[in-house]
Amino acid sequence: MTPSLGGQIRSIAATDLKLRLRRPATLWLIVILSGLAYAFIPDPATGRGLMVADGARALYTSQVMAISTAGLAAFLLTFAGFYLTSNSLRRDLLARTGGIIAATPVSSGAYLAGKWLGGAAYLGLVTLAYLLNIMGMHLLRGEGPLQPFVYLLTYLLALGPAILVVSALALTFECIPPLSGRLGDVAYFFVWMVFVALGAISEGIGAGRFLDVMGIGFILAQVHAVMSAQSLAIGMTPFDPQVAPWVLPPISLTVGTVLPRIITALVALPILLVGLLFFHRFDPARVRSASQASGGQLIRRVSLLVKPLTRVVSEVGARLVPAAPGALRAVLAETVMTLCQSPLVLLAWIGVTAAAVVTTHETAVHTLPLVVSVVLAIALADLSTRDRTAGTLPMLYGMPRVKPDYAWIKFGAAAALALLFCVPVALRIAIGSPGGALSLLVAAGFMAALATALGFLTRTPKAFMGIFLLFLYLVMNGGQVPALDFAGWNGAATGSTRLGYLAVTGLLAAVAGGRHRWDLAREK
Amino acid sequence: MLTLDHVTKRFRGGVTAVNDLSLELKAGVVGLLGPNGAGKTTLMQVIATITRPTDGQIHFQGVDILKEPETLRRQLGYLPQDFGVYDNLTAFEFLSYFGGLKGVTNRGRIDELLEVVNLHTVAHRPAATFSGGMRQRLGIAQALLNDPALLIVDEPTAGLDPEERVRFRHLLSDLGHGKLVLLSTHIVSDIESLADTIAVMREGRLVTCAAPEALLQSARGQVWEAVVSSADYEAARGRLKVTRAVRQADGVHARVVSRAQPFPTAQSVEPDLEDAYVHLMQVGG
Repeated sequence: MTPSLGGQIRSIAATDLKLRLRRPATLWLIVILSGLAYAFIPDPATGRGLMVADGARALYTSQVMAISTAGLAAFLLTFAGFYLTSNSLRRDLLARTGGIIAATPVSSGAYLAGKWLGGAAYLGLVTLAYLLNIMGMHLLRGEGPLQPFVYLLTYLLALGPAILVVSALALTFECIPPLSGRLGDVAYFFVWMVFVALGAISEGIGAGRFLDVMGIGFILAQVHAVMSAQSLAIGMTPFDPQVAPWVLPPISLTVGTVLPRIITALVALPILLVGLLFFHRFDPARVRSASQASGGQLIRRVSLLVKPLTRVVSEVGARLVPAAPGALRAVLAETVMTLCQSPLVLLAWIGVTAAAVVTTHETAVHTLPLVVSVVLAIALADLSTRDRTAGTLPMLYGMPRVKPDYAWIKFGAAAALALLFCVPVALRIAIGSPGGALSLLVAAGFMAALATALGFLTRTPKAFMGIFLLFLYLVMNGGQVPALDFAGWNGAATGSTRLGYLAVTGLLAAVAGGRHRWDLAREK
Repeated sequence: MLTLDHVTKRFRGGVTAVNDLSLELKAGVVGLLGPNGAGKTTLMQVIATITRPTDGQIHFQGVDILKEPETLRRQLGYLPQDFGVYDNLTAFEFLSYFGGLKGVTNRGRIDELLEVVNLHTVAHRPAATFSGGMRQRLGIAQALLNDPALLIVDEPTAGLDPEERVRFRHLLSDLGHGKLVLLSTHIVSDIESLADTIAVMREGRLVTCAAPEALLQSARGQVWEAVVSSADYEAARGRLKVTRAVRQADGVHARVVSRAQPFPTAQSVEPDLEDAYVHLMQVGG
């Protein structure tokens, strides 16, 4: 029996796609995309347009709606796409099917190709669902005939390379030991920022257009081909109703347009080859050393370095935990365990606390909260999902009061950990910037609640990592928008901002509790 | 059929799971016995080409499988000890997936195996709803998909109820003709009735590889049965290798492996495979 290569790849890709589509999260994703489709395309009667150049809005033709919404989707697709598809190998490890797959005649290359195509097909289908929603919006807001081919071609050229490259990157990150964990999730955030920069810098011309994964340069080039505007905005942008709308002609299928997009899509292949070099093929010896290397030798060395300190934390915990009343006992135990098993987090806490003491007031107000947020993005991500993954949940549920209060215990532990980092910084800035200190303490609760709620809703740490890092990106670029200044480092947060985040914190904690109660009810 | 020549598997950190093991196996059912941590699972993984040995050579039907693992993988059925299923796939989809990887495109073969493992009535139910035993049977069906010339099953009866265990033993017994079935277990009764050859491992080394009769012969005159008081039994339990003990009205009916007569009333009895295994572990082969 000699299996065909094509049959093997098809089988892997189809199964990967099937497993992804059957996750409840996919349904939520499509609901969110429908909402985004509606939100992205404003009614021109409101004074806002989808694409505005030098104050003049573009007429809502199929081409304008396609290229604008593809541009908006590119940001989300390239960012969230990574986190959505970056669990292919992990799924086979967790489902414990890896050993069986490794003993079949499927080659490592065919396996990775199948997984890559499965991930790309999933992103492609999600994009298609979004596109269908946009076409639905065209029927509502369009100012010209609905031209499905124009939509399809634009999306294919603008987003096709992104789908293939992001799926390849997600798989390759999983193959490379130091990048296969949360460190990789954070590292991708910076890769994504490079994508944003490359698209904007290249503007579809020069060598940069071959690396325009996001397709932003391609989109800019299409617009600049017909008008040399000083400013171009995509999204809900105010326009001057006195200026006549302009029309964007259809994309011309020339070699100069298509070839760079094909070359960008082909970037996925060398990325996959790198993944193939590191792929462990479920060899238990390599999987073991890969999990040890996730974070590298560094973690082992740091563990040794911090060992005396973890021992102190452990001993303090051993005294404090039994003395604590009721549910607080479990919260304390959870916090102590997190610190003891994550030496890097403990080391980061020492660093942050030391920096809060020695740094200038300006740095403490504007930089330290950002550092704390990034550290907490890593530290809090798996707090509410790790028990399920490790299979210790039934054991924990056997402890008194843990089962009914599990969500609150997790939220409490996440909040305790977040406060541990935020309090030293808040104390440092409290005299000069009491508002900033208060914002930071509110942010601790918000981050804890977001991590807990997303962990309970999605059961994967990646959702929090992805959403929170994207949020951080918006905050960093948010300037003086008070609503975005969640931790006060932009100096724009007001009392209402803090109250708002406090309310969201309560809401998110309630969501986590509600989801847990729902899970328990379903068990019965 | 399968030859292992001085195979060693050493993990990073210095643990030697398989230590200079040589073995030559012909078609039939081979039971691989050994206590936990003996290296059985690692040996199975090495033979199944999942992990490479640190040293040594392995040939299957004359082909060096370290150089040409694909040759073996095409003829291999493997059920690891710690395996799982995708909860969102049905039994049929699960087998179709592995059929695709193994080149089995015949739907009839999948239906046939679902019937063999008694899952045909739940073939289109998601595996999430399956019990441990049902998952185990699905794993067994997966291993048999490509009608393998070499079937490696690691602790296959874990999670099966007594009726399913018997069914599974019959299945393996039928398969053993003209093929090599390598079955690892620490439950001696699993292989008692079906193994043509028994290999015993301890601390990574091969203690023995022989026919069951030879093992039984080696334990002759070393197995005793006696009825003793509870107090005598409790006093002797720490120093004797007891293979079975049943409390009854007249005292504890104990079966003991010992060179010397353990109790004055003890009588020598014919050893069974469990006694022979305990004896072997005691004397070290």
